[in-house]
Amino acid sequence: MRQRTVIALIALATTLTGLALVTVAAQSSPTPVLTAVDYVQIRQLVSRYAYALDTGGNNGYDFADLFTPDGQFIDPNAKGREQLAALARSSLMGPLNTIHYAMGLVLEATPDGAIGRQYVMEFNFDENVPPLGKRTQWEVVGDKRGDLRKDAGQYKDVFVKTARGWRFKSRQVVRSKSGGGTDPELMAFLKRPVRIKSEPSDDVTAPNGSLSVWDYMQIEQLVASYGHALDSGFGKGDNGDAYASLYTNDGLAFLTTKGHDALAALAREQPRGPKYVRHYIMHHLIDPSPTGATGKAYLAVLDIGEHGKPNTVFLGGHYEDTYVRTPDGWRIKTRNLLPPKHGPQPAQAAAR
Amino acid sequence: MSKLKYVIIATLLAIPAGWALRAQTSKSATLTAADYLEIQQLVARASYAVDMHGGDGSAYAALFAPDGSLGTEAKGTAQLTEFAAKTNKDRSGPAFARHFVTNVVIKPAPEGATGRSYLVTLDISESGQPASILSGGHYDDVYAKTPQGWRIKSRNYVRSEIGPQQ
Repeated sequence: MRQRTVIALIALATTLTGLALVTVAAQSSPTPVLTAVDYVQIRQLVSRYAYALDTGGNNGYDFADLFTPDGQFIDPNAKGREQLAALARSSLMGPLNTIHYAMGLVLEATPDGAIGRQYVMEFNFDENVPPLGKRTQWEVVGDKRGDLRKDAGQYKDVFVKTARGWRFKSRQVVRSKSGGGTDPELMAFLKRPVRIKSEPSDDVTAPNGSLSVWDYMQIEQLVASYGHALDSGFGKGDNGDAYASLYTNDGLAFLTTKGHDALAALAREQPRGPKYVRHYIMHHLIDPSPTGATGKAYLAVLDIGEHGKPNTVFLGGHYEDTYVRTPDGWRIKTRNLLPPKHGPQPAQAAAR
Repeated sequence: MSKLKYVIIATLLAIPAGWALRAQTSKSATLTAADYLEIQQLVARASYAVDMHGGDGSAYAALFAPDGSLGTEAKGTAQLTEFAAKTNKDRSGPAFARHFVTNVVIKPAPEGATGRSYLVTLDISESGQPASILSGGHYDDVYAKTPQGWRIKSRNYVRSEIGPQQ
């Protein structure tokens, strides 16, 4: 009995010493670090950017308000709220407009906040997509219904945390260009380990009405799975069950298809294959709701040419979703796809 | 004296037992929220490293575990460094963007984690012409947690292929 007490005391002392060392190390470390919550919030900010820019919502001020009051956009240049709002009003706009598709956000903490980079491509989608008619979904693969624009490349970002949350301090467009040798700063950045500060509360689900980091990760994973489930059944070829399993048992897709069997049948009408990829999804915005969460995401359906056919842009638009917690994890309760459209639109659409 | 001996033996025994327990816990295959974020950052960094190497493949190789492999093309840091530096040697640079990756799905696995993600490569004109799609497919990855953080243990690229129609 006494021996056990001694062992316990030694173990306790060792643990406490260890904790003390870790604490001292953390306090004396000069290296800035982002928390898991920071990552989630910056990613949501960056996703919101595409909707704000492409819709020109709130007369461009939705876009401007993603920046600090002295924030700036570089190339084309705009600084401050009025110039930024004018920039978002300057091109095609409308509540259903989708042009800028960005992905691959990398982040690192700085003493003042964070810096980041992201890849971006731009589309012009045809708005008059012909009806399917007598053709099957397989037969329309490769139809050309849009183009990539000439501008594509990277964003270089500076973020700061304000009293109202993370904001862009600056976002610079760097158009893709080859040459220039190496960039020692970028090389060093890519080689540094990713450091993320995490709390135990990041790993548990939150009650309805709020979302934890864990919930954001799981909902993101659910939506990131969508293309894999639909296009290839996660490499199995049959996509029916994989697709239907993303939804609740009473899940509703595209206002018309409800329930596991109907969803599985819908997926099986789509072109598919064990190696097939087609649905590219990004800009996943997630917000808590009283029953779970709501979300939006951009979709680009790209047809990679088969047997020497040209590669084509097949479809664009954005999804609007609701998600709920189930005993098996987060599931899609409803998903609708809104086709891309620019210019003046009915007030009902504008209210989205 | 004999009591102290027992204490020392018991403590020495407890250390490996603790390690074994820890190993078992990690084998139950779960990932923390921070693991998802770190692996997503790792996957995103690969595009920058491969597109901007400028003849230096070391940043790309650093994303892999020391014994990491890329398909059948390269295994281990030296081969990965060489492979990355050779790829698109005349088409790379700090502002070059070609590998666009999204739909990053990560799952816990006994060896750490596995991942699948979609790739589309673009040819972005430098003379004002519209960009075009070069190719597309998906990556099948295995990730391992090393003392330096999450690293790619293996990556296989599978080019998109439709069908067969059933």
